[in-house]
Amino acid sequence: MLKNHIKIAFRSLAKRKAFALINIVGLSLGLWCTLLIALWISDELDKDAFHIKGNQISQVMTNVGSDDGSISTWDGTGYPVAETLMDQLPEIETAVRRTGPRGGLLKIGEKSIEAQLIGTDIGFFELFSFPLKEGEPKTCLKDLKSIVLSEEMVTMYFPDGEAMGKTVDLMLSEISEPYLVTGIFKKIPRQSTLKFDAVVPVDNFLPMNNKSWGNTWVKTYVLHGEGADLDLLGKKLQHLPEEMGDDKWRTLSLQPLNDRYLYSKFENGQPIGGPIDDIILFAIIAIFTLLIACFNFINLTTALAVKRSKEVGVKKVLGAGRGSLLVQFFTESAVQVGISVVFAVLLAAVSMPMFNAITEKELIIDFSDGQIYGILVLISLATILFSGLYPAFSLSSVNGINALNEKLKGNKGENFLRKGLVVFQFFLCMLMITGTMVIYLQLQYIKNRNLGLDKENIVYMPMNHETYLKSKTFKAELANFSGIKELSSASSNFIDSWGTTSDPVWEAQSPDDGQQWFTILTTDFGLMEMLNIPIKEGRSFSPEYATDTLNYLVNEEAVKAMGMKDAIGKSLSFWGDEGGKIVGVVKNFHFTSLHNPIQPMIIRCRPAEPDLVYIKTMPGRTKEAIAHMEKVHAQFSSLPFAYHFLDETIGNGYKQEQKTQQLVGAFTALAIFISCIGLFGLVAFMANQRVKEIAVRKVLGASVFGLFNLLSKDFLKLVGIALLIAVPVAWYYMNEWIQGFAYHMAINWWLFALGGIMLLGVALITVSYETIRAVRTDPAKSLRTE
Amino acid sequence: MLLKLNNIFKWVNSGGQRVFLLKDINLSVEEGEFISVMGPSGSGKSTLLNVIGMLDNFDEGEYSFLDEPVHTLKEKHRANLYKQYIGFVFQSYHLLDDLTVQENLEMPLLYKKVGSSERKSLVADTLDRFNIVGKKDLFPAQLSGGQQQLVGIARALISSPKLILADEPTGNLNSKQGEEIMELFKQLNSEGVTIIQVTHSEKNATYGSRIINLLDGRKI
Ligand SMILES: Nc1ncnc2c1ncn2[C@@H]1O[C@H](COP(=O)(O)OP(=O)(O)O)[C@@H](O)[C@H]1O
Ligand SMILES: [Mg+2]
Repeated sequence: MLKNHIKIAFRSLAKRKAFALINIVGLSLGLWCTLLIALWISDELDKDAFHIKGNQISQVMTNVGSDDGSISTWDGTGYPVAETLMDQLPEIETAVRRTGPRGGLLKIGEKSIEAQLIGTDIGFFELFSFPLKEGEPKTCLKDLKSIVLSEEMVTMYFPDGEAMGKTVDLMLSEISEPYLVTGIFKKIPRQSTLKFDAVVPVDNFLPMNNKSWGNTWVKTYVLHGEGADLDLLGKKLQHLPEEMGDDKWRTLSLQPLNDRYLYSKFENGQPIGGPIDDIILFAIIAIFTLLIACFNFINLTTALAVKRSKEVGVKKVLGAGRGSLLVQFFTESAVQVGISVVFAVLLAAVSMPMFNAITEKELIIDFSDGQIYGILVLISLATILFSGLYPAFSLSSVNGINALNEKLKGNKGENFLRKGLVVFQFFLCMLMITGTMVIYLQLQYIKNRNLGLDKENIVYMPMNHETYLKSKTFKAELANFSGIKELSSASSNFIDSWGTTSDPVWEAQSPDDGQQWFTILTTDFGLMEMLNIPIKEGRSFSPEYATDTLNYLVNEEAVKAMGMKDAIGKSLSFWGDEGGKIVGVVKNFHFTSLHNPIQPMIIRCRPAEPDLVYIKTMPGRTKEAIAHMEKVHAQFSSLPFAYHFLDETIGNGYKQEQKTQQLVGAFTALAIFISCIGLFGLVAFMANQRVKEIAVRKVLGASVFGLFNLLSKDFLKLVGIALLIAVPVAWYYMNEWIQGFAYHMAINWWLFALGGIMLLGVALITVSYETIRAVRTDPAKSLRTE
Repeated sequence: MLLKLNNIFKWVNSGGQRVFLLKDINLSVEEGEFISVMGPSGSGKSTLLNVIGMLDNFDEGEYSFLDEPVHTLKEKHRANLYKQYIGFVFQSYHLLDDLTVQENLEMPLLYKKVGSSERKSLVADTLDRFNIVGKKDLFPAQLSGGQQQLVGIARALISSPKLILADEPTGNLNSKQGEEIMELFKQLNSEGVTIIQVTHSEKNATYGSRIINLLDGRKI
């Protein structure tokens, strides 16, 4: 019987090729993007999920409160937190610190390698599932100067594969020290967010003021019982810093390891989102697109039901029960979905490199992995059920004898359903099209916004251990080239937000000023000039003033934060500095992405402590300048040369949004296309149904325009209704999204008008094609055929 | 006694008024009879046939088929009854366009859950008996009207029903084709199949052993 059903299903598809084509094209496209997104989501959900003890591990977060009541959350904690927690809270079985990954210079035999190192406590390999190939998890990090290497490092740099017990030289800061290889860990799973080449005990990274609670340079992980009440535990450790004598602004909280990746953004101490936002967004888009394709299927299948009711009638008279008819119609749906799945997989395979390029993933369709089958079966079943359910029930419920007597008229409820589905399709399209426009315009807005600094022709390069040691001569050599216009240094790339401090004290500070947080920018002379950051009051740093290496510039926000009337000449100090005077106020400029408002900033001049060397090239001579930089770099260091363009770096700060824009744009185009072919099918069907009516009207003298109006009015009305419903919904969600940027454009009514006109235009073209054809058919022809 | 209708009424409500489609119909049919139903268009012939064939309900009266009280039976039971004992032939043949002649013949057997080998042999026998072996792989659209009706009758007979209900079986055929179909009915009847046909043609009606005349849903 099933074989019979499948055979008949294929025949009935072959007979109604146009409809089958529309259904299959729509479903293939819908399934294609669902498949891609499902693979992407499952990859995201797999992140760090391989740790066997994962649901017993939490990370300790530091919450820093400020006077205005806001709390900022850091994923680092002070060094003493781990020990204190183990001492004070019996629920915590163990606590492990980690720092890095940080670059370190590793010397193995004659070879120097820049490796990514992490520093951890002894329990690291027991807590996390990074299995050791050789060595003992319990003891391998016991000695301060022990090192555990990656399998890859060993095969690459130990030709005989014998690394255990050998000594390597590691330079973490200024001096190189010997470390004993005590273990080798296996290849880190692709799903790990933490990647490193080597592990040493965390104390090797101890900074000067190591034991302070305020220096949050380590990540602290705790192991607790599986069913531990994290809320309760969180409450117990919340005020631990204050109880232990730290300041009251700092509190602790826990975040389960399994949430750590997906919920990385915090607001007021609570996780509010992160990658999970994109997962939800794209899951919704996938569902939308697939729904739109399913709606086509439902619409066309039920429209066709009028034609197929005779078949159902005959079958019922021949003794077909409802069940067997249901099976038949489900089989037909399943056959179409099945064909579409094959196309979807092919499309996905072909488009995967492009999708990976946009999403920066390494997804593959791996048929040796059970996961892909799971995903395919799941989305196929959902699609078959969703698209097949209604048509199957509706078709099989036709009353046999009425169908044969052709008393069956278009069912009112069904017409309503069909209209509703068309409205819903275009409603979704409108949401997506306005979403795409808002994202696009906001990115344009960001690109064109005056950042308050000049980022053109600026190249910067990070310093390494070797160049840092000879930074003075290094910089002098770099500057000694005609293609280089200016040279300076800075500790920032002007896009990533980095730490703030409440340490500064200033002249005439009053208790009313409260707790204030400042970003510290460390520069060399000439940076303000190079970036054209205007000085509002006072002067910039200048080598002519010997004391300027102790003096400060501040931005307008900082002046406000410190509550100063006249900032120039006021004294200021922090971080145990000697202290100096404020010599100038710079106009506000953006030093983090436009997601964040401009914060108070203090700029200090430390020519001897360059982090990133900044170079402004002569216009048109950038290539030469970079060649020169590379040459000079090679004279000073054996490590790889790296450089970045400032404008690119700043542009990359919006990669996430750009990625979202590209994907949303592509999926929107798909969704509109699928909706339109569905509309096309419906219009074609209706026109076909009314061929005779059209012919008669034409003979009676109806104008072409009148007929066109008659046929297309209803459909265009539906699209119009969809647009009207979509506007407030789109407006609401787009406003929400845009609030994520401290600086954003205004959402204008014309945006919706434009989106609506575009969509209506596409719908009009779709509808016109078939209607005009129907209207232009020679009436004699259609009347003769009856 | 094959079937018996007692005081059958069927009506529809239209504009607050009760419109009778069948009015007080009494009819007994013995096995082996060949009955022709006649009457003007709209007089209720098809309705009567559908009621007898259990494809349509009635509102009042009693109907027993092979001593089973049809009006009290559950839907499922009733379906089994007509699947087993009744075959239908239609004016417009109602063959399934997507299926070949052979597959059309097979259809009722599939719904009766007849086993595959038995199905095959029944289909082969029927094709032989109606001399349509050569057409078994053709689709209905490839046949003439007379041939299509032949297939329709073959399909009605394949599960060896006791009763054939034919609603204007020759209505769409020319007179020669019509005559052939009537001859076929006569032959089937002589083999013991009970036939009730609706016809407009006096000539065709004479093939039957009894004529029932309807007017406005009433037997006259
Ligand atoms: N379900 C129904 N609802 C309303 N009127 C019906 C229905 N079925 C049949 N009729 C009407 O009842 C009358 C008898 O129909 P029918 O039995 O088909 O007549 P015949 O086959 O004799 O031409 C016709 O006028 C028809 O329109
Ligand atoms: Mg009739």
